[in-house]
Amino acid sequence: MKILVVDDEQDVKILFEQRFRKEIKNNEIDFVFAFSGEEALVYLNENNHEAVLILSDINMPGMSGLDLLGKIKQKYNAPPPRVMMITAYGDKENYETAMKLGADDFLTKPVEFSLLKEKLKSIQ
Amino acid sequence: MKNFILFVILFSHAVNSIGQDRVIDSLSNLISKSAEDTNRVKLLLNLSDRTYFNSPAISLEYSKKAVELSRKLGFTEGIASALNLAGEASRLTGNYPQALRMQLEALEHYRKLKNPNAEANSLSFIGIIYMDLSEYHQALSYLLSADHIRQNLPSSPNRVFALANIGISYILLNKPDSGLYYLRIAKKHNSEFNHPQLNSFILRNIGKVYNETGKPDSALYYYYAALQNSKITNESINLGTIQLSLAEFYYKLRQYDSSLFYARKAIKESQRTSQKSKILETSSLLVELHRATNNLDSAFYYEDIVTSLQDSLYGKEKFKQLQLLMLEEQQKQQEISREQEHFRNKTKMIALWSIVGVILIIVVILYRNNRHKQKTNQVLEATLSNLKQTQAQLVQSEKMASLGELTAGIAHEIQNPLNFMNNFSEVNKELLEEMKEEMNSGNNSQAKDIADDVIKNEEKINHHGKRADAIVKGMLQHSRSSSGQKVLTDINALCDEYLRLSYHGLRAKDKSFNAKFETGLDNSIEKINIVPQDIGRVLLNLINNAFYAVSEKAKQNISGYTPTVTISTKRINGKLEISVADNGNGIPETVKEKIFQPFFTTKPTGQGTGLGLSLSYDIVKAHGGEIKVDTKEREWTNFIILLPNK
Repeated sequence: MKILVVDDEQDVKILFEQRFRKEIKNNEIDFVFAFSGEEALVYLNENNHEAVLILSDINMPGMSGLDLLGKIKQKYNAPPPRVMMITAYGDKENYETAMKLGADDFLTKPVEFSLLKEKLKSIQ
Repeated sequence: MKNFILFVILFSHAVNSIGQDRVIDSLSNLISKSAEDTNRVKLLLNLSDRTYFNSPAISLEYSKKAVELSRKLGFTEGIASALNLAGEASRLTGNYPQALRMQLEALEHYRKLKNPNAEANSLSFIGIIYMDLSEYHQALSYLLSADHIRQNLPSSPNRVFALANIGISYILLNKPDSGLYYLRIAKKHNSEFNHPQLNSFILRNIGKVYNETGKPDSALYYYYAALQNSKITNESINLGTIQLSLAEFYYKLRQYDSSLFYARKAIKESQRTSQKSKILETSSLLVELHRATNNLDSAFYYEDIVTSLQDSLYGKEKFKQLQLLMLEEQQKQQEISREQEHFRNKTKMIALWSIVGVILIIVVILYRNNRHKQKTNQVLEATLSNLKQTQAQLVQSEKMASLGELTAGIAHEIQNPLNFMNNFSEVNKELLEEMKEEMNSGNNSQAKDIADDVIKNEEKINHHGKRADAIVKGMLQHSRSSSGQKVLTDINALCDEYLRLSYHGLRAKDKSFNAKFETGLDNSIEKINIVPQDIGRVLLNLINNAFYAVSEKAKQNISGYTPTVTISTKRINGKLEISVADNGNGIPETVKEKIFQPFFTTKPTGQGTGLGLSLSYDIVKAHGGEIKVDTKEREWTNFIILLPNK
């Protein structure tokens, strides 16, 4: 399963690689990282439909996670990839906007990796 | 009323005696009909004046009535004029004490009325009284002081009369030359008025000078001229005197018949006018004449008259009265001079006190002005210190406001490193347990790989710990009052820190806000000496403004618009340039001039203090740098800070 992680924090990559090292080692999950919304779109364009799941931060400079969500759900609608939003601001407004735009799930930081793992398993 | 005072007095109506009696009758008639007013005083004085040369006793009666009425009416001019006339009439009838008393009173009135002409008249009348009393020195002093006053006044018959009397006094003091001199001056002045009585008077006295200086021909010439003149005017006083002079002249020449002829005429005239002194003089001559002609009975007869008149005119009693009067007058004069002295002193004192008063007033005004100024200064100082306090409070509140904006950003910025730290430490715990298993299994190389990961993660934990630490320190620095201490600071790090703080702060405040931010930092820039919290505030302010500008433009929903804020640093000509650029709406030219003014803001009321750029300007200036703005309306704005690269 290929998962695209979008976050402006570079260290997210190391963290995910460490957290999911067993899954990566066992080739259960393949992570791809993008450090901005723009970068994520470029990747999706180049590797159409490769990513099954997109995990995106909302609060990013330039294109925000919500902008990215809207674009993904508009452009890749047959069938659109699952998009899971992760944000530090777990407020109602962000949540509702994300749901309206078609987000498949909504997580708040700090991420409970055990919870995330279970969710990923259910998708698989 | 003024004219009245002078012209009523003596000599004014005597020019033409023809029809005099008729005038007198009609005047008496008018008086009997007139009411008791000033007009009646005038009529009485007129009548007294007209009767003076023929019957001084009657003149005296009228003038006395005038005095009485004037006193009743409180009519000072009338009192003085009437006293002049009554005094003169009293003198002619031989009552010298009364004459002197009246003239002295008149003099006093005129001095008070400040009428110099009338004052001079009174003075000369007093002089003439002294002449009659044979006090010629005294007489001269009065007459000369009268003439002194008159020198500045138009000439008058009264002056002529006084001048003639000055002449006579000199003659009687055995100074015939001076006497003649004054008589001639009198004659010259009289040609202006051609006053007949005065003419007779002057002519007779000139004759007398010639007689006494041994020029009988000239004397006789003048005596007859005077006689001729007095016959024209038909008056008794001068006529009697001239006749007496002629009688004396002929007696001296032992022409007793001629002398007796004139002496008899003279005594008749003298008796008619009741002139006691003339009767005395004439009687004395008649005694001598009758003795010379051996007519002893007649001589005895006139001797009796002489004795009784001498007693009545110059008797002990009269002498005493006169002495008293003169003493009184002397005391009065002394008192006047004392009063004048007192008045002068008083005037000086008043002047002195006035000056002192004026100075005091000025001092008080100056003092008050000074006090007022001091008070105003105090108020101004208080206001100034209030203003300074308010300014300090505003600066602080501006700081706190920006800190408030930052709080959410700061929370986010701290939350992220904390998350990393928690995550990495959790991962490390798992890794270390795995490592233990691998070691127990004897897989050393596996264990080593895991240990490398643990080390890498520990480095991350440490990195994020420092990151959180820096943010907290920065926040504390921001809220703290500036220490003003310059420290070597990495300007790039400062720019990055505040850019993030600003961005997350705005995001936290406004969920819909988003913007791209870019950095173009020159990594070759060395640390520079600045007050970091102050420059940090400048950067924060400029970055906040830039984000505000782009978010405002984003609200206009322009297609293809990407709100972008760029912060960049570079070295230019030995200076450090920090640029904060945005692609917002720019600043209109009219507003551009005002942006660095305190309290100027384009934000809605309550949203901006209007102090941000003003404070930024002050801070940069205090660092010896400059801040400027470059903008294109509707396109972009670029704030540039230039700092000395030291």
